[in-house]
Amino acid sequence: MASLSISMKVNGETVGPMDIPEYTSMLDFLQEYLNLTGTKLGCGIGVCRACEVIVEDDNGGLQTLRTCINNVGRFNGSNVTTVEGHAQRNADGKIESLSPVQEAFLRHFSFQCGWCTPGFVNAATVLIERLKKNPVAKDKIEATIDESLGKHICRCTGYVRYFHAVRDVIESTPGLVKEGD
Amino acid sequence: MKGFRPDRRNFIKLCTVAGIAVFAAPSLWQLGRAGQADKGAKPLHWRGDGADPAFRTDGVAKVTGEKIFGRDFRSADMPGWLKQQHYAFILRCNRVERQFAGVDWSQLPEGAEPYERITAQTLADNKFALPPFYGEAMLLAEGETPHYYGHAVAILLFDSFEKYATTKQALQFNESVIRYGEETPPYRRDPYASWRIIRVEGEGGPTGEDLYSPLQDGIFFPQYRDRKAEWPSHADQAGSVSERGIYYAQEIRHRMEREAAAGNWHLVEGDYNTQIVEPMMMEPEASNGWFDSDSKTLHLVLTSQSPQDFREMAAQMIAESGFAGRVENLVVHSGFVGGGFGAKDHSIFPYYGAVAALFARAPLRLANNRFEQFQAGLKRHPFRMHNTLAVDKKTGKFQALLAEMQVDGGGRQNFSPSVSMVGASAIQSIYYLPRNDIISIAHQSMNVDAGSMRGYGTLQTMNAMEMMVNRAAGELDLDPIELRLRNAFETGWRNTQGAVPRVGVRYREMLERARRHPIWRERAERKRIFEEENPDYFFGTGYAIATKDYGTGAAAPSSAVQFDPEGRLSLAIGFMEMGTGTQTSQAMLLEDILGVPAADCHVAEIEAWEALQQFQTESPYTMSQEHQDRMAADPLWTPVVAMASSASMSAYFQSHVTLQAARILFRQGLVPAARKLWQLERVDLSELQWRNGALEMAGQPSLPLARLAAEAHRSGLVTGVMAHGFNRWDWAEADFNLNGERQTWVIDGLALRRGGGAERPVADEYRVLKRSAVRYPPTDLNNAMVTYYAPCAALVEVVVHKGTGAVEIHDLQNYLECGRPIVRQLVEGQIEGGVAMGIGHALYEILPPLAGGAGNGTWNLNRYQVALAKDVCVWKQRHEILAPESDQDPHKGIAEVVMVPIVAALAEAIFRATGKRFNDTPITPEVLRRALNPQVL
Repeated sequence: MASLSISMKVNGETVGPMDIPEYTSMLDFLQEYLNLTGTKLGCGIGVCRACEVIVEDDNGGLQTLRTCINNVGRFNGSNVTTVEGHAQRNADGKIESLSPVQEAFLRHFSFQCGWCTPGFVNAATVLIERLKKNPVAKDKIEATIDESLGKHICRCTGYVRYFHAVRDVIESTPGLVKEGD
Repeated sequence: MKGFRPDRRNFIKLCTVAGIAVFAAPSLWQLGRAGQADKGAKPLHWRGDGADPAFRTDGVAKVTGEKIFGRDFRSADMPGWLKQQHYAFILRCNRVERQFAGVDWSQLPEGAEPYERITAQTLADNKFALPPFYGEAMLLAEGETPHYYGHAVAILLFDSFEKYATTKQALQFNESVIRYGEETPPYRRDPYASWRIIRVEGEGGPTGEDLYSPLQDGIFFPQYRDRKAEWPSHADQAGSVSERGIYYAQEIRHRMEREAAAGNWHLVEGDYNTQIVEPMMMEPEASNGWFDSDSKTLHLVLTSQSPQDFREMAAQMIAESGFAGRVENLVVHSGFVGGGFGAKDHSIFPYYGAVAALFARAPLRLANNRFEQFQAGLKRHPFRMHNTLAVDKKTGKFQALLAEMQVDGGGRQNFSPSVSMVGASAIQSIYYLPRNDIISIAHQSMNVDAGSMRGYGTLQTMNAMEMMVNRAAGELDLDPIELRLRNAFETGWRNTQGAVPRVGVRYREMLERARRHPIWRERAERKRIFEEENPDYFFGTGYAIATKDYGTGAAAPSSAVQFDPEGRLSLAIGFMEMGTGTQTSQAMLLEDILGVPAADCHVAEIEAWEALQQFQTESPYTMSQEHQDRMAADPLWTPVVAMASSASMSAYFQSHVTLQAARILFRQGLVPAARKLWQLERVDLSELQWRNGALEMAGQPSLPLARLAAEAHRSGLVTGVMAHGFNRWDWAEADFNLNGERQTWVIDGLALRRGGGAERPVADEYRVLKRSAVRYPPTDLNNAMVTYYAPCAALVEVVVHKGTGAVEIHDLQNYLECGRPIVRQLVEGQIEGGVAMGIGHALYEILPPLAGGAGNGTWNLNRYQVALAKDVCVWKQRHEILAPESDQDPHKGIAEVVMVPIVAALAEAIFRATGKRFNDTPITPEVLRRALNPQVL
């Protein structure tokens, strides 16, 4: 079995270099090599998006990537954030505060079983970060959320509470909404 | 550190099964939280300051990716386990028409071979056989005919993830790794179950004595010949239960023919078919097991909804195997369930995990990927129905219903008998039927086995009824809601089984609300305007209503409520958390009675069972009245000790016992403490009330819970109550001697604690208090089948593209009557989630049967379409939860009913839009396109 030398940052911590079998998916890397199981296997073929994580591009922009269909090599050298990396923690690892998206999902009772939640947290976070640079017109908020989260599958709660939570974050965060078109 | 010492407090011994001690480990929720989020820290406290909780108790864990699900845990996470992690997967047949001729082991990739290949021969050598509930042939033996698509043939064990992943990649879709031999006839067996519900009302009408009904007369069964059910044919009005039943069944048919021929009754007759549906719970099944041979202990981490039954059945399986003596302890860890929908209730999967772990050299992880979950996971039963509904043309009153249901249970029996029964008893929906003959037969087939998936047969049959009612309204030129109002069931009337529902019904109110809604009132005008403005689309409006029974006829919940000297409340329940928010809602229930919610709610707890010292004997469904009467004399006997978790069972059944335990704790612990502090001889309970966490009585200083708790502890009063209830469509109640006073509580088992803390309940801190008398619901209530109902309705507008047949939901109004919601937001989430799943059932989700179906191992979400946000009218859909009629209304189980009426409402809306009536689901865009454009291939 050929292997790849892998190193990256995950939730701010340097990982590797490690020799990883070349056909290893990023999801398996996170789960079986780093024991980070917050990123979930849903379908394993890139449809449900429960496995999405955030990757920072060269310009500091954020994008989501599906870890079940992307090889670990795709992430080599990247700065990756998983669902475990959003909350602020103290030196003991205890949570001190949540991100606005996490907080909104809580307050809206957006999920039930919570298996799809990591994918929604990451996708919504990327959307919010994108809107900080490119605000959305008020009448385009819902369409923008549809576009960003519309492919995610939730089997318990029927999407309504996720979508409304994200709309609340967009409307209540200064600078994300522009006047007019 | 060694992994297991039976004397350690953190494993709770439940029982001994055939020499194997069965233990429940603390919930993985607790394990996952150790060293994690500070659960008490503001602003992250779930309770918040409002009337409703700020968020779910498990919310922080779920938005931060904590390990809480069974699938999350690896050996490194499990205290005391060997840290090395091994892996396994299962090879399965994807054909059934030829003998299984063995595995071509030469296809194993070099250097990645499994260290163990478990086959049927391995199981036979070690005398492993499945528990009877699951049938035979856990692994198919060489030379045998596969019983169904996806029948397992081997389990391969690997000592590294790399080898496992390499081999799985090479074999999973490899058509040649399993060899097939001679053609063989299909594997067949008798139907799993057959039911017949015949009822004819008597002269007294809906409330009077029936001429014949299951509740009054009992039930009878067919003979099986050539794998088919043959019902008795001899009819005799004065004969046996079957002869009388056949007599009245024939009478119904004769009357129907006569009245139809005379032009008095209108008959709506048709075939109504539903599809095989994949539950598609988001967490695929997994297990992690370690057989610690030194301590003769098998540890298992499961994703099961029903760990209680698994523990006992797995212990029995091992005790009867060649591993008897080598395994002395079975420890089962349960995590949160990442979606269940019934797919993890009595699934066969954990048994493969348990057996495989026994042959492994280190902790072994067996985890389905999604293809495997499709191939082997429990499905929703498809129903083929032929139904006839007779309606009086003058009055619009339903006169009779005939139904014949063929239910495909797949390759293993599982819950097919009860699903077919519940489906049959549910078809009446919200309607009163003076005459009915409903036959339901659950068949074996070569499809993947079906189980207790959400809906449990009622989704299938009630939607058929709603489709018939909508059709009847159209054919009789009646307003569909008006027709429903004329036939709506009333409180106190008899259902198709002859039983009287125990919970009041508010169908008329729900119907009237929809009738007044603009979507309904203005439907003709809206259609005209929309179609004028959008000539490429049809527009239509549909309505349907359903009422879902909930309960099993043998519910047996347990709760333990306790407080420490600081007034910190904790609650333990036997239920799992499957996502519905049980943990949150149960914790909130205490607030009304004890002033504050539980600071901790321990789910999937078992300790109460041990403290209560209860035992059970025969099946609660089949035991005789004499057996029940005789056994009930033993104050520790109960019909059922523990029950499986299902989403619809917590709000009513679990809540009942939680509330009973809380009330006893209030009466026996807090009220005496208040009396002491107020220095009163007695207090009138009606004068007590909680305000801001303090107990108040006019003229007395208010007493915070902490003060009361301290006094209760100081004075040796009751500080913890464990209770167990039993419900067979009615609750058992028992008398207890409490402080010299005989008190009656609606439970059948009780244990009390004095002193102690507020952490997880400890069994030996409690002392059982034996009942002095008990009154169980009579065994003949088993014939009633179901008597608890919660109704739901959907009013929907659709637009249908004339060219593609694609359906878009234009607007959607849902209605639900759930009694008193415990946590409103959780109920709303259930409504919205149920609607999404119902839309999937109605419009998109389908697995073909047999060779092209899920059992062939190639199915996944790339071609199995579930509803996405764009499909559910995500920004516009609304719901109305009917306000409770009183603060005494029950908390009703609603997790299933919320997905039902949208199905028939959509079918009707599509008919009103296109003029095409569909009786079968799903009505996919392709089905519609072909119906609308038959000239286009």
